Amino acid sequence: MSYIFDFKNHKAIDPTALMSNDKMAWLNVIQEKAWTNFTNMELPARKIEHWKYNQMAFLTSNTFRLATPLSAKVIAEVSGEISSIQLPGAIHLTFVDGYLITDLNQQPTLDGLSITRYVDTTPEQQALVERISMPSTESRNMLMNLNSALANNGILIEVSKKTKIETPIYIRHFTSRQTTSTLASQNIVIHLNEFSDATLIEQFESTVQQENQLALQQTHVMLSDNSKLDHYRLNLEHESSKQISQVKTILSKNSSLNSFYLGSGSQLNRTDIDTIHSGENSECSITGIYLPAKKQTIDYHTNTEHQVPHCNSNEIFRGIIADEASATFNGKIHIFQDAQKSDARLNNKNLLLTNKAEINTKPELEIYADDVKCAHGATVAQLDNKAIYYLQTRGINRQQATKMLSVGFINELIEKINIKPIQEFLFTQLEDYMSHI
Amino acid sequence: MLKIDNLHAKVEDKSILNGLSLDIKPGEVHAIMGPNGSGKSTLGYTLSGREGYTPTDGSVLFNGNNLLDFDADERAKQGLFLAFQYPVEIPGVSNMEFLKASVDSIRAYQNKKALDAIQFMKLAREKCKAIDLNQNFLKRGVNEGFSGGEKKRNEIMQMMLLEPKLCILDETDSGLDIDALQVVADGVNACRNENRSFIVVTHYQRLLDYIVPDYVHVLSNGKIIKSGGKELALELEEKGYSWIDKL
Repeated sequence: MSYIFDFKNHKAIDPTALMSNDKMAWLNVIQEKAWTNFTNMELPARKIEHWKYNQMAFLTSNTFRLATPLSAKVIAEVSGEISSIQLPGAIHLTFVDGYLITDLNQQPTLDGLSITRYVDTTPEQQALVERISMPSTESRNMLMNLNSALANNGILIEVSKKTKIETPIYIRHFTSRQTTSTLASQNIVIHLNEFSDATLIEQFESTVQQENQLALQQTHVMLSDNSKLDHYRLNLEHESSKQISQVKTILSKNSSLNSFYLGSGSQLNRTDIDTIHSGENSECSITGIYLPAKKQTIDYHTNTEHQVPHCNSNEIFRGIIADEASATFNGKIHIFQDAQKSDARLNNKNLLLTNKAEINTKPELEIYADDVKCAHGATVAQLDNKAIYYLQTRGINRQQATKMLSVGFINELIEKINIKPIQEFLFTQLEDYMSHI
Repeated sequence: MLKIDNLHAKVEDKSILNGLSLDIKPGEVHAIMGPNGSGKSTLGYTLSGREGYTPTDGSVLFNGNNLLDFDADERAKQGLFLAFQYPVEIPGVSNMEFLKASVDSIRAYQNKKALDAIQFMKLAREKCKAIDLNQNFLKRGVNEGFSGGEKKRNEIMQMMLLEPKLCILDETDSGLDIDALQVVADGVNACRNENRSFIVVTHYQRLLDYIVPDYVHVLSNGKIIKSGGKELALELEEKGYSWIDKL
């Protein structure tokens, strides 16, 4: 059976049609809410502020079919294309077109870590998924509501109380080349219980030319009191890929989030990062690097909410924009009236390598408390000709000088990463990017 | 070594060098003095190949090659070195990475054996020590947050590492106190030999007490209007630059 999405006529399949299995009836409450949100929203288009800088016309110039699971034979073929960072001892999970292809029974079991398909969840776990991933009525992203409505193939990751998972949980999302005009959907819910500590690495990849394929993905994170998550999201898609995704993290009392984003590849890569401080003394550090080239568009929309007092947030995003590429960084900080003594920082720097490269950077501050620290800044620069000349007078040619200055613009952000294989992988990615421009 | 003949150059639409000629033989030290705006820095920029400093007439032969035909990096590879009056700060690029790239590139061009990381570190530390520059500077961004004196010492350190054939020192004395000046001059003097030549560009005679030139040239309005031995610098110091207007 194939499900057709016809965005032009503002129609898509009714998700209840996907719920043939009684075991999944519990998910209805999420799906119906998401579906109501979805149908009440306007299609993403330039006239809507939230989508102002994204070319979304492809949505209405095609119809989409929901991607179906690949056969074991095809999976065996594509598996070889999926790159892998060498992370000794890591728990590996691989999704192809939104479907988990890893046999969870074959995974090593670690005390305090459980990974469960939605279809296998217990009622307690179902309540947890509902609590963490229920779309809010204010959710501005129509396509993420669609993704929530299609959540059947989601997984729940739980880390027990007082557990430190020493090895990373490494999730690779791969978009294959199915027939044209497919839509893939994927959902992850991760819950760190009190005093637990884990590392989550998500990698997004596609390796061949895509024809009107769209990948939707959401990761919903709940950090209970005093827990700590290191979260990496590395986008490495083929330049023809389109991906719309969201990471929503809820931070409880004394919890801490340290996250890193890499945006590279993709014709369109749009990531909404919602970070909600709902417990006092929680803190987050969000670092991002984006490297669009050719005609690619990379867009990060961050929304950091300080709902309660005494929380710290620190966001640093830097981008290099080459060729005719464009990037958007929209960084919103929302400090609620009761959130006194909040400390929120936001910094975005951009380096444009050509006259046709485009950057749209917009800090958005909504501050309703009066005793807060809030610092924000954005810069856009081109390569410094004086610096290039200086390097040239030392025998370094213009191309290499451009490379050194560009790498120098962001390498301090990579140097701060404390997982060595990821750091090395990122330096390789950066080298690779620089060698093509 | 270097033969400049009737060099004219403009910056934007303004003509700055107006027929400058100069002949430098291996091992010689030539001082170029002149008032502000006489074209001293422009000479260094034009010879080193800075964009926007456009030669319009004349020729420059450097070891038999037509220097003006080459890009800035190629001139450096052929052995030309400019010590900047205002060295550029490059945050994010470590001094070490920069120096290694520079040394690698120049040695490769000159068919010298590449230095491995250990040999390079040893050499860099040695040169730092010679110029009294703390080795921690190697780890910092290029000139980033360096004081004026530290930047100048960093320039001379680079010169020592790169072993150029011709060194142009552009106002290397500016911003140095007397002790730093002595250190920098010692560094320069240690580099002097029968094959290496220097152009020492300065506004004041003071530097020439430390780096004693073979010849002194007075630059005015983009031309050398008077040349002599080292005593010319003293005469100029005594009589002031207004004296040259009467020449």
